[in-house]
Order: sequence, then structure tokens, then C-alpha cells
Amino acid sequence: MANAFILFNATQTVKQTTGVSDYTFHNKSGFIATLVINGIKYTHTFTQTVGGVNVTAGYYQEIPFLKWLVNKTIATDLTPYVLDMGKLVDAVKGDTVLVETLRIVTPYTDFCKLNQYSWNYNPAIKILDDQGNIIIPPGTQPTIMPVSLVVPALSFYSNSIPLINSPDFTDNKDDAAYSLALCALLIDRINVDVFPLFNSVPGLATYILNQNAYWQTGTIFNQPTYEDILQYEESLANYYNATYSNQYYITAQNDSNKFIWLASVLSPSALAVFPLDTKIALLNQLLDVMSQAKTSAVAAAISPIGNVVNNPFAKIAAIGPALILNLTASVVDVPTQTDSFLNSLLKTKYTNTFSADQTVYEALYDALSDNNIGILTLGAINANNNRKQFVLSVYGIWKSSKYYPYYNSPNYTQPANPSTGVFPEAFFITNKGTYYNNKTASATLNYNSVTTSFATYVVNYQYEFNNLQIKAYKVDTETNNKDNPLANGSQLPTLYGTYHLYQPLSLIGYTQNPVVHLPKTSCIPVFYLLYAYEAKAIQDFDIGIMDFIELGINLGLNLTGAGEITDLSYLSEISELAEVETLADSTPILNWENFLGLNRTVMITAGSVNAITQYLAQEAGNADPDVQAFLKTLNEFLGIIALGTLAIDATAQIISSFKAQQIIEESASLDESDQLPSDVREEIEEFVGNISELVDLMNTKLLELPNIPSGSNTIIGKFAQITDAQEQLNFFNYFYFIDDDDPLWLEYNEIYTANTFSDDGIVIGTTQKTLIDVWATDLYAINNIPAARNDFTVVQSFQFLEKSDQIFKHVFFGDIAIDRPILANGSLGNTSVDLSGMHNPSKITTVPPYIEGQWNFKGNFVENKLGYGKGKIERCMTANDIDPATGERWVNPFETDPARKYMKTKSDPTAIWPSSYSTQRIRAEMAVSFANKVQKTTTVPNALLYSGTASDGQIITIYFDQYEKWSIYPNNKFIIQNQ
Amino acid sequence: MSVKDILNSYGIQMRNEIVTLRSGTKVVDKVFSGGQFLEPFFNLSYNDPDSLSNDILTMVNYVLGGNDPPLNEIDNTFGGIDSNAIIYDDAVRFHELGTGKILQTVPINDFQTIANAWNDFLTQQPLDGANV
Repeated sequence: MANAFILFNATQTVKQTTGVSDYTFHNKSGFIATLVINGIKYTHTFTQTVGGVNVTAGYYQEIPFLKWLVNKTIATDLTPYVLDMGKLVDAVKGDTVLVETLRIVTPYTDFCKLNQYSWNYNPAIKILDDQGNIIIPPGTQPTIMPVSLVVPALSFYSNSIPLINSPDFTDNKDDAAYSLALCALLIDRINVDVFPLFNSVPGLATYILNQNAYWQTGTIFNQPTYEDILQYEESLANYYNATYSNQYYITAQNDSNKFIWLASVLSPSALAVFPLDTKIALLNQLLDVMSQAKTSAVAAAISPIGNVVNNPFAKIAAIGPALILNLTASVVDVPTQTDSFLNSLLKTKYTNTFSADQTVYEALYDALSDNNIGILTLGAINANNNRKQFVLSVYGIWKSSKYYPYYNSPNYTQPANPSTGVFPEAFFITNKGTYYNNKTASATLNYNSVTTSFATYVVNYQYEFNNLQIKAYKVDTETNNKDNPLANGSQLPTLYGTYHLYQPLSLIGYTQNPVVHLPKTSCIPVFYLLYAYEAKAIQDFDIGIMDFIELGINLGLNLTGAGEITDLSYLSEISELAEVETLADSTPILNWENFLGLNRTVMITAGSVNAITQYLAQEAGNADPDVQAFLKTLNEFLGIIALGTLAIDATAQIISSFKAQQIIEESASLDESDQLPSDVREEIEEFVGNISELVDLMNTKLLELPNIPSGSNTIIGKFAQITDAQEQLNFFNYFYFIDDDDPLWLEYNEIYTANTFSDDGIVIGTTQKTLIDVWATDLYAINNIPAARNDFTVVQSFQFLEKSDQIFKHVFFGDIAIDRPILANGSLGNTSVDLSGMHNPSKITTVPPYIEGQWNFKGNFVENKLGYGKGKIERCMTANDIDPATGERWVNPFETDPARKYMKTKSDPTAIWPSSYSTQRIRAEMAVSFANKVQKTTTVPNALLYSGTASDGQIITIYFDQYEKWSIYPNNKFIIQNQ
Repeated sequence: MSVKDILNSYGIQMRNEIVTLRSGTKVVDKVFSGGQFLEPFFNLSYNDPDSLSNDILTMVNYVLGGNDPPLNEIDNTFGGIDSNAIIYDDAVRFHELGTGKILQTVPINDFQTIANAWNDFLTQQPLDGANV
């Protein structure tokens, strides 16, 4: 009796081994995969179409078949090489059938062992089931046989198998174990059949050793799924199959092409040891091959294991994207290669391929593509995209190159600028004059979004490769309001700048409020912006800054959380500000032409910037919150100056005007010793801008406000009545930045009945007015304190005060109570006069003469540094002040001097407002204090005690007594001489 | 009765509070609380040692010395922010403004003790308005 095996798809399936010198089994099915007869090796292939040619399933002579794959013509060319089944002897009853399969049994530690089955052949017993699988006779026990594999394959398996034994692995473990076994077998076959093909390449042995080490010790899988393992198996199979089936082609290739095949299975870390020149050569060669494959329109399909492919260009093209990514990623962590690698990508790759020259970078960018479906379902950040991976890898390389201004290159000799962190020898710092220009290559991209009642305006940018550079176009998009459907939106792209691929730019976002939003990472290369723009376009979202922010996540941007200017260091570095210390004081560092579209120039000199810088350093430790707020404004102004040297942007210029105005106002409100030098202030005043332009802006805004009435008392009418330029600016600075839909607009226009007062605070009538009247007229006295005047609670507080007929009277006239106290025995006592209130310095004079109704200083007067005073005062009682005991004018019975017979001294000391304050100012300060009052404890029944603060910082007492009367006056505890 | 007992009997507390000025400076605020109408009288009207000494204690001592008001040209009215305090030979009475009704009567010895205690407190370090 003879041994026998089972063939794929043979008419007579079971054949004797007679005359067969060697044979192998298919790993899983147990059919014969290869066999050698008379020194000729036959390999099985399935029915398939290869390059449009149908190949019939069968066993073919291996060498002719491989040659046919390289230079195939027609399928019949293979006919002579099909195995003649007549050379094999049919098995007969009693022969020993042999079947071998890989042993896959939990816990899968028996890998590299075979199940070897044998049984006596009986033609009467069915040997294949209906699906064509071999039927092992029941009760047949296998003999377990070891298989000899190379060490990397064995190690790969033993390192990987615990992953599928883990509880985390929930897929079918048998399937996964089998797939891992096939991976190990493929690694074995690559070592045996493929690596020797590259032996002629100098130094290749080193790379082969590295790859084998990766298979043995590397972390190939991390909590894999069965799908992950299957993909890796397919990759190895593709590689093995492609290289094996093209071995005759490969051996005929030059070393670079052989490198491509080798590199395609190496990990990025293994590739990292490749010399840079080799990597660049590989990338260029990949581009050439992929281009040929593309232009010859050959499908770049890789066949599964057991199949064959017939176009080497297509095969390289298919492995190309992954290899490009691996080669690029292999540079990220090799600092010695980053600069040269980026420079190599800038070289011209194709000339006149299209309408313009193309860099290697652009060619690689074009050769890769994103998974658009993935982008749509997962978002641009999460989708697994070749182009995205490439761009991010280049970004990683850029961050470790001379093109990134914050990278500390070992080639530099100078340290970073301590205030900005930027290295002066960085490429774009030493060449900033070449690459930055506020008209042709602005360093800032100002993303702006303004919504009005009629339309939404959005500023965005789009990018395109242009020869060896990238061009940016500014796009102003106007989306008309849905209430005006007849109008159409419009886009007006205009060339914004032409940039070096690696040139860093800063992104800035403006809100309608005068706030600049800047990301912490305010330094982003143009090539990334181009990718972000194109990826965004794929998503077909509305162009808007939020989309860009999403794409910016990978760069660590946080536009929304930045709040205000957080990092202008890069912009400062490339503006003239960085050089200010070396410039003469009179040198203008900013010439801002065409400010707001008008033909005039604003400039600030180096001397002023130096003065501002020194001021910032000098006052940094000042605890006064007013000074701190002022320093913040100054810092922001410096940031705007930096922007101004690098960009032309209308919004930025409006904001600079606003900031300049803030500086002037805030500086004026500080103690004289804390104020800016006058010459610096004068230069900053130039930035405030032409008032008429702001008036136009304000009028436009007012006219667009929905549902706002017009009339002399309305906000529109009030603005029209203002003729004073400073007041127009005050109005603009507050109201221009209130959102159109803010309810404040209606509240300011609400009409109410208010008292009118004499100068003494006595009600003399009523009038109809609005809160804009309060803002414009009643609070005008604090127009140099915008923080107080523009606080709506202050406006409301004033309204509350003026509705009372006693509050102002108490302060400006005083309260006089003349009565006869009821004594303990119930009888009436002598007439007593109680004076209270009167805190108005303009109504208190020195004596004599004594004038009826006049208040005089009596003595013990002290004054604090703010000008608040306290002391004894007295009043000359009038003919209307009747003594109830006599029915006549009250007379002081204790005065011996006839001239003082009507004088009554106020018993307790009186606190008064500063003598420099007008009545209007005092009334406004009362409202300011009332708005910010804080309640204090008091044990007096039905009384309320508060403490408020005037705009100058004085503590103000606010008391609501049992008679439901308010007293608002300076707290005399904090009126201490010269304090 | 001790001074403390008298103050307690009126529910009076004297304490140093800290006030933060807008400049950020923290200063002492000496507070008189409790005692009904004594509270606004001392806390809001007579809260510096000079006026307390010159206007109040001088008059109290003058009356306790057996003299009737007035002292010089000053009558017996102490005034106040929401009542009219008048000193009599037996007490200081707080009268309602406009009606003259008695709101509160404080025996003159108690009033003297309270005024002296408040004066002592105001002159103790830290003084009112002192930086902390």
C-alpha cells in the first residue's frame, strides 16, 4: 500500500505520493498546496482574473508561471505548464491518506505544530463534504508534529497569542489564533523566500535584522480585534505574495526598487535608521512609480494570499501611501534629519506637469488622499486619512526644525528671546523681511464674524498651491438675513498673501465686542492651513471660524477659551516691536496708512513703546486695581500695535482706536503719579481716530437697530444732539459695542416721569424723560469715568434717587426739625432744633456775614487726600423757621452775640463731598455708590444700613431710617486729615 | 455694675472690622452696634474721639456736675441721624423727629459709661482708618 494525498479540484481527488519527491499541505484545509515531480515544482492557483486575463484553477509549474506574471500575454500561454494529472497515480483502497493542518487548539500554545492525520483510503466512503472540505473519518486521532520556523516568527506568535487569551478579546479566538499563526508563517516565509532577494543591497542585512527584532519584541498590536489581526495578516500576505510572485522582476531591479519592497514592511522606527538620502530617494521613486501606475490606468489591486498579480507598478503604487507615511513618520524623531528633510520636500518635483511647477511636498500631498466617507462620518480629526497623517507628520517634523521659531535647534548659537521664547536664528526670524509684508504676506489671519440685523459677515481664508509657494485668499462672505430673502449672499475672494510652505502665521478672531481672541499656539504653518481648508471643504460645512477651530484641535488651539490676547510673542518678534530697543526714540515703528480707509497716517515711535514697556515694568507691582486694569489695557494696546505692523484689518484698527481711547481715559482717572508720560499719551491719542468716522459707524448701527423709536428723548435723538467730539466718542465707545438684540436698547428708551429739582435738591416740578437722558445729562459729570457711567445699574440708581423728593434735599438743603420734646412727665419741654443732612460744600461758606438760610463752617474742619471734609457747621435760621413755643421766628436763647441770635449749630460733625465736585457730580456719585452698595448689619428697628463706594474710592454711608428716608453721605470715619 | 455689665445690658458691641478700599488697601473700621438708638448715634454721628470728647462727654460731665444745660451757646440737643437726642439731668432721651415723642431713655450714668467706653475704644490701637 502507498501513501496518498488530496488535491484541490482534481477529477480524481486522491492521488498516491508515488513519483512525488516533495509536497506541502495547505495550512488550514489540508489539501496539497505544492508538489515536486521530476524536479519540477507545481503550485496551486485558484480561478481568477489577473490584469484582464482569466486564469483557470489548477497546479502550474511555478517558474514559468512567475515569468508569465511579469510578461503575461494570454492565458493559453500557461497551458503547457499545467500539471498533467496523468503523472500521478490514483489512490486505491487500502492506501494511507495523509492530511496535515495547522494545530489550532486552545490555549493555542501548540503553535508550530501540525495535526497529521492518516487513515486507510476507501473509495466507497465520501472524502469531501458538500462545501468541498475534507472529511476526517470519525475517531481518527492526529499525530502532533512540530514545524521548524525562524525565531522571529515563533517569537511573534508567542508574544501575540496572550492578547487573544485576554478577557478584553471578545472575538472568535480560534479564528484569531489561526490568523496569528498565518502571520507567523508569513514572517517565516518572508525570511526564507523574500529577504534573500535583497542580499545584493549594501547594508540591507542591518535593516533586515531590525525588522526581525521588531517582529520579535515590538508591540505590533494593542488590544487588537480580530479585524486588526486579519489586516496585519493581509498586509504580510500582500507583501509576501507581491514580492514572491515578482521575484524575477525584483531580482532584476536596481537597489532602490528593492528598497521600496523592503521598506514597505518596515516599521517607522525601523525606517528611522535609514539615511536621509535613501528616504528622499525612496519618496521620489515612489512618486514616479505611483505616477506611472496612475497614468497607465492599471488597477492597483493586491490579491489575497494564494493569488497573483501581474503589474509591478500597480503593486508599488498600492503600497506607496503607507510607505510614504512610514517614511515621513520616521523623520519626526530624528532631529538631525528634520531641516534637510523639509528642504528636500521644497525641491521641484515636476515641471510643467500641470500648469505650474510642483514641489515634492505637493506631489506627495496629491499622491495621498483622505477617506472622505470617514471624514463625513467621523469628522476630519477622527477619520483615518492618509493625507491627514502625512500633514500631521510633516507638522511634527516642522516643530523640530528651524522653521518653527520656538524650536531650540542644536545648530543655534544664541538663546531664545527671554520675553517671547522665540529663537533669533530661526529661519523666519532671520528672514522676516523677506517673507513677511503687511500687504503681500501678512503674518495674521483675522477671522471675523459680525452679525447685524440685516446680514452676517464672515471673513475666512482659502488656500492653494502655487508653484513652490502657497497662496491665501481672503473671502468675505455676506449671508443675508432671512427676513430679506430677495437678496443673495456673496463671496468676494481676494488674494491675501503668498507664503513659503512652512511659514508660520497667527490666527486671530474678533467678536463684536472689542475683544481679540488669539490661540495659545499663535504660530501655525501655512501648509497645515491649506490642508485644514481643504479638509473643511470636504465636509461641506459653512465656512466659519468654528470649523477651523475643530480642525485646529490637533495643534492645541483653544480659541474659545483664550478670552483675550494671550500670546502675541511671535507677532511681537516679527514686528518692529522686537527691535524697538535698538531703534532711535524718534524712529516710527508703526506707520499705519489708510487708517479706516482714509488717507492719513498714524504712527507710534520707538521711544513711546519703550516708555510703555518701562511703565509696565515699573507699575507691575502696584496693587491698585485701577492701575492693574490700566496695565492690562496697555498690554492689549501693545498687542494691537504688533498686529498693526503686520496686518491691515479694519476691525483691528477699530479695536486699536478703542484701546487707545481706553488708555487715555483710564490714565486720566489714575493718580497723577501713576499716569502715562504726556508725550506718550499724545502719541496714543493719535490712534483714537477721526471722530467723524466713528459717528458714521454709530449712526449706521443706530439706524439698523430693530424697533428703536426716534425722537429727541430717544437714544437716536440723543446721539444726534451731541456735538462735543469727546462726548461723541464716549457714546461710541459704550453703545457701539452693545449687541443689536440686547434689551438695553429698549430700556434706555423707556419714558418715565421724573422730578425736577432746584439747586438745593428741592422738587420743583416733573418732566418726562428716558434713561438715555440720565446717561447723557445726569451722569455727564462722570463722563471721564466710563466704568461708572456705562454701568446700567448706576443709571437705574440715579432714576431711583430722582424719583424721591427727600434724598437730594437732605444732602443739598439739609433737614430742619423744630419741635418741643415730650418730657418724661408728659409735659412739653423747651423748643429743640435738630439739624441733619447738608453735605454739599458749595452751600457752606465762611462767616460772617450771617445770611438767612445760609450754612457756615463752624470749626474743627479736616480734609482727606480725596478732598472729602468733615467738621462742625451751623445754620442761620430763617423767618420761616418758627418756634412752636412762641409762634415767632426761632431765636437761639443761649447766644449773647446779637449778630448770632439766629444761629443754630449742628450738634454732630458733618461730612461733606469734595469742594471740587459740582452738584451734578455729587448726584452722580450718589448714584454710583447706591449702585454698588453692600448691606451692613444694624440693630435699629426698621432701619437699613449700607456701605457704598464713590467712583473715586471714598466709602459712602447709605442709611434708610425708621421714617423711610434715605441718607447718602461720605462716611466720616474715613475722612482723616491728609489720609 | 461693671462697664461690661452695662454694655451687655444694652446689647452693645464694639468691634474692629476690616474694610477693603477700592485701591485694595485694607483699613480698620471701628463699629458700635446694638443699644437701639444708641447705635446710629454713636456709630454714624459721634464716631470720632474729638467730637465725642468735645461735644458729648464735656456736656455729660457738665450736667453730672450739677449744672443745667446749656454750656456756653450750645443747648442740650445732641441731635443724631434719625432721632433727636437731648440730655437731661437724669438721662439722655431719644425723641422722635417731628413729634418729640420719647423713643428711648438712657440713664445719664449709663450714658456716661457707654460714651467713655466708646471713646476709649476709638482711641485704642488700631485707630479708625488705620491700614491693616
